[in-house]
Amino acid sequence: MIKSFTRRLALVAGGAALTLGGAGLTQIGKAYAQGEVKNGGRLKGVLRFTGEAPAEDAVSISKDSHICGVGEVNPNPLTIGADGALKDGVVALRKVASGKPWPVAMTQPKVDQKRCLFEPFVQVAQKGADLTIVNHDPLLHNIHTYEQIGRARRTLFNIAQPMAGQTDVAPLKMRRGFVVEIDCDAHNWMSAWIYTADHPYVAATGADGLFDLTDVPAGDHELVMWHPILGEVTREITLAAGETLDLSLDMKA
Amino acid sequence: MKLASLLFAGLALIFAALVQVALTKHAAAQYISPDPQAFAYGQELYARECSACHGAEGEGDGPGAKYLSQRPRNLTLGVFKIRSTPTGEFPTAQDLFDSITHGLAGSNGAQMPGFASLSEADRWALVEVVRTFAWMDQEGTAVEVPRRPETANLELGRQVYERLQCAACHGDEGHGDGASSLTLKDDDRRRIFAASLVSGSYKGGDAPEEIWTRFYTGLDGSPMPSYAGRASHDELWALTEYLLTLRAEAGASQEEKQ
Repeated sequence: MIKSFTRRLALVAGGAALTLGGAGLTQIGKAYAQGEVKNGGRLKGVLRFTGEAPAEDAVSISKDSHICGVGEVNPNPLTIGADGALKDGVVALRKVASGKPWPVAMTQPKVDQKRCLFEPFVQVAQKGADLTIVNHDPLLHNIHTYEQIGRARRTLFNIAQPMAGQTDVAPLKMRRGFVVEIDCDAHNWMSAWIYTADHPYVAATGADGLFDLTDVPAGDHELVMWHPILGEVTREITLAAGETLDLSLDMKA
Repeated sequence: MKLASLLFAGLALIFAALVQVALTKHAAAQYISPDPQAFAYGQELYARECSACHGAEGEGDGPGAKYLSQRPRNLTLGVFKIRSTPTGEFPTAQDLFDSITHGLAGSNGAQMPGFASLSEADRWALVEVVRTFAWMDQEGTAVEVPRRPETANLELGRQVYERLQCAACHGDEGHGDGASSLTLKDDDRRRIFAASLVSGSYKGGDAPEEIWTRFYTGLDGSPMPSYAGRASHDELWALTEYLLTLRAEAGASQEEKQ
């Protein structure tokens, strides 16, 4: 009863905000302010995986072998490079109210479907951005996006693309979550992830595990490390004006 | 004195302008204002009629939930299968009203019963509760279903079934036995099977217009995607007619066996 009362209050407040500002319930809260960052700092370093790798998930390619190939696929692989470098990880700051302008790439996330795999597997994007989806395969894929909220997930949209060359653009209308999961129900080994943020201080790691966040406003920050199967780890950092922090970050299974 | 009244008139003008702006935005976003009375009344009804499955707070975790093969909807996530609105959009209040009235009985076993026995006012009060649980601050925009053509092009319907690869999940004959049906999961990551298109009733209703709408909007929360833009309106009508015929034929052969 208490929860539904708060929900109700929020709905009324949302209605008020909507009426006054034209913003929906999902967009309540102060928007990120873009501008010049004077004397900002830099957070760079390497994300590594330490410890024992969890057992590999293997899904057999059970259909459409003329396009998808044969054998088994791990839908959510843990890819570890030289010296433990973790690929497909995300390094982000939790909350930043104002800072550098959005890089264009983060406002235009895109997923390709090629030979029954999504590309890229992990990317970062502006929360609420429009996602572009392209099917390169001459068979039915369905782009099914979900928002993760705790352990629950909720469909954001689900669009059929039965032919090669089809392109759709659809908004990632998220609520309080940050992580978008992408499935293709027609091919259950296909999986991709988008880590969204309401500020541009977020990076996905490549094979070398490196990340580099520039023009970071000085101060105390909560640093988030995330990976599709390793989950989330956070730590506190303090960045002085003009300082460069060289970090060695670890994630475990 | 004059100054005060001038000031007052000025403020009134500004207020009126603000209200005007607010009303314009209001209309554009189709905001439905919460109705406190209906909500309070609806909550009592909800506790009595719905909470055993959908849970006291609408999270799909009522005491009866564990006895159901398909989990009752977690209403708080705001995702609904039966909508007249495009994928990713909220349903309309009318969609919720219709689901409460008719229930959701599909080919994989009847699940949610209909509540047509409740008065219309009661069902609208329940819509208000569901809407609040779901954080629905606006309605989706209903898709306009084009008029059903007078003649059915069954050959075209069969081609569309093939081109859209409906068989991947629903099988060549529509029995719900396509290759992908074996690996489908719903939003809760639970096993779900493709509906049989030729037996039982359709979850979103059996009227031709309702079937057409399901192709167009998909069933969010399930693996069924939206086919909007993937076939023309007429082609979706041909597909609808094709399925109606498949179903009638399957029903006829079932009767012969008995």
